[in-house]
Amino acid sequence: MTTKGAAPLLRYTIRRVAIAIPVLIGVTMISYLIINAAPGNPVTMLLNPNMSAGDLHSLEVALGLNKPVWVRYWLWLIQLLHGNLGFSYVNFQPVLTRILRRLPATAELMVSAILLSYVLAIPVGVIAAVRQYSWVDYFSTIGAFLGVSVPGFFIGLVLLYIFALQLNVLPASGQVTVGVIPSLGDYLRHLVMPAVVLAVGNIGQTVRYVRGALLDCIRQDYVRTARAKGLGERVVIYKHALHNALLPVITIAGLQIPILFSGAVITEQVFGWPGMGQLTIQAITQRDYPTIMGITLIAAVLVVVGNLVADLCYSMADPRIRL
Amino acid sequence: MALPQIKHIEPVTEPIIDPKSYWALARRRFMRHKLAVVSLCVLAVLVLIAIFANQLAPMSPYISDPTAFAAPPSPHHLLGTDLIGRDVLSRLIFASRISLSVGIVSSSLFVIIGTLLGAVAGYYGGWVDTVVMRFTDMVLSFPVLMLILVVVSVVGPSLYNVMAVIGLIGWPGVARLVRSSFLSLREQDFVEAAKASGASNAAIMFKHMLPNALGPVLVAGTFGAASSILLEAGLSFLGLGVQPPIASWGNMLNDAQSLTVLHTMPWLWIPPGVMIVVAVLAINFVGDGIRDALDPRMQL
Repeated sequence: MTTKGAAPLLRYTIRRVAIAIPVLIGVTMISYLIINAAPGNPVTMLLNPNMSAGDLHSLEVALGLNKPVWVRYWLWLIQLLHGNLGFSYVNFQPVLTRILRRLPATAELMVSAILLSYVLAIPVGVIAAVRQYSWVDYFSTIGAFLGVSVPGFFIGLVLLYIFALQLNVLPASGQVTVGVIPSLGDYLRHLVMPAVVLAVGNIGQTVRYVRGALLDCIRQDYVRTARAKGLGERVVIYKHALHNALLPVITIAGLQIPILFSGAVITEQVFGWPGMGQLTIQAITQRDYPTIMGITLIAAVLVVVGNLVADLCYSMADPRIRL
Repeated sequence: MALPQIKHIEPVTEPIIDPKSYWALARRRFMRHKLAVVSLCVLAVLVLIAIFANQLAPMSPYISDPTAFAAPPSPHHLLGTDLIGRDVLSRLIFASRISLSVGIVSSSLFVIIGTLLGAVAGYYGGWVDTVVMRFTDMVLSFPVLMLILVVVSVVGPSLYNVMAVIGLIGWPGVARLVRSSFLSLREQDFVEAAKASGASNAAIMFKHMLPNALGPVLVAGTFGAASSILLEAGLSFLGLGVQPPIASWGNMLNDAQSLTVLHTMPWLWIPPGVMIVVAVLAINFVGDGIRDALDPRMQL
C-alpha cells in the first residue's frame, strides 16, 4: 500500500520538477539579457584614471568580456551556481550577501501578511458562501473589489497619517526603535501597519477564492449524500465541504508570492522597512545594476520554488491531483 | 427530499443564435448590474474630464503661482497648490489624461500580444504550445512590479516607456486565457469545416476562432486597464514612472513620501489618491458587469 501510494507522488514530483527546471533556466536567461542591456559592466567599477585604453582592453580580455554573449552567459551561470551574483557597483560588497542580509525582514513581512489575510479571509469567505446573497456576501464582494482597487501605497499613507501622525499610537517607520532595548512589543508595533497594507490585496482575493471553492463543493454529490443520510447542516458544511474547499488555498498561497514581492517593494518604501524591496529602490536610484538584477533573480527563483512547494504540498494533501 | 427532476434533453446541434439578440441580451444583463452601470457613468465623466482638460482646468498645470507655495485650499486655488506653487486641481484634471491613457494604451498592447501568443499556442498545440507556455511561465515567475522596475531602470523612466513596459510585461494572463479557449475551439466542427474549405491557418485563427474567444479577452482587457493604472501609479509614486512636470495621479502622491508633507498638507495627496481609487474601482466594476453580461458562468 505504501509503495503504491508513494510511486505516483514520486512520479508527480519528478514531472513537476522537470517543468520547473527549464523555467528556472529561462528566468536566468531573461535576467542575463536585461543585465547585458544595462549600461556599465564590471570594468566600470574597476576604472582608474591611470589606466590606458590598452589596460582597459586587457582587463576586458582577462574578465572574458570580449567573448560572445552566450559564452559570457555560460560563465555567469557557472558563477551563479557557486553563489556569486556579482558585486555591487556602489559599495563593492557581494550582491548575495547584501540580499541575504535583507531577506529575513521581507520574509517576516510577507509571512505576517499571508497569516493575517488567511485569518481574516477564510471565515469571511466561508460565511459569504454559506449565506450566499446575504449582506455578508454582498459586502465581502464590494470589499474584495475595494481591496484590489486601492493602491497599497495610498492605504499606507492613510494609515500613516491616522495612526502615526494624528493619533501617534504607532511608529511611522523602521523595524525597531533605534537606541531602545529590542522587545517583541516594539517589533510588533512596527510590523502591524506594513503587514496590514501588504495583506489588503490578498484578503479580497482569498475571500473570493474560498467562497467560490466552498460553493463548488456544496453542489457536489458527496455533500448531497451527507445531507441525505441526515447529518446536520453544520457538520455537512464545516466537516465535509470545508475540508475539500480549503485544500486549493494551499496553491493560492504559492500564486500570491510574486504579488507579495511586488507589494513589498512599495510597502517597504512607505514604511522604511529594511527589506529587499527597500534595497531594490535604493539600488535603482543608485543605478546599481548587479544588485537590482540579483534581487529580481532571487525573487523569481523563490517564486518558482514556492509554486513548486505549494503544488507538491497540495498533491500530498489531495491524492486526486497526482493523476 | 424531492426527486431530481429529469432534465429536458438539449438538442445535439447548437441552437442558431441571432448575433443581434445575443448582444441585446448581454446589454440587458449588463444594465441589471447596478454597480456596473453607475461605474460606467463615473468612467464616462472621467473620460470627458480628460478630453476637455484644457477647457475645465482653472489654470495651467505647469505654471507656478509665486504668491502661493504649498498653499491650502482657498477660493483662488480650490484644492490648494503644490510645493512649487502649481494649482493642484488643474494638475489633477490634466493627470486624468495621463493615467487613463496609460490604462488604455498598455492594456491594448498586452491584449494584442497575449491574444497573438495564446492563439498560436492553442491552435498549433504540440511543441509550439510548450514553448509559448514555458515562456509565459518564465515571465510570470518575475514579480511584475520588480520586472517593470528593472526594465524601466534600464530604458529610463518616461511616460512612453512606462506604457510600453507595462504592455510588454502584462500579457501572460491574456495568453493563457486565449490559449485555453482555442484548445477547446479547435476541436469544433466549424474549424474542421473551415479547414476543409481551404481557409489559411491565419484566417481560421483570426476570422473564425477569435470572435468566439473575444468575451473573456474583453473582460481581461478591462481588468488589465485597471491594473495598468495601478502599476503606473505605483511606479510614479516611487519616482520611477511618469516624470514631472507632466502630472499623473501617481507622481502627485510622490511628495507625500515626506512625513512633513503627509502631516501638514493633506490637500496634496488625498485628492490624487481618491481619484486613483475611483477610476480603478469604476473600471473593475464595469469589467465585472461585462463578465456577467457575456457569460454569467465565466470563471476569471
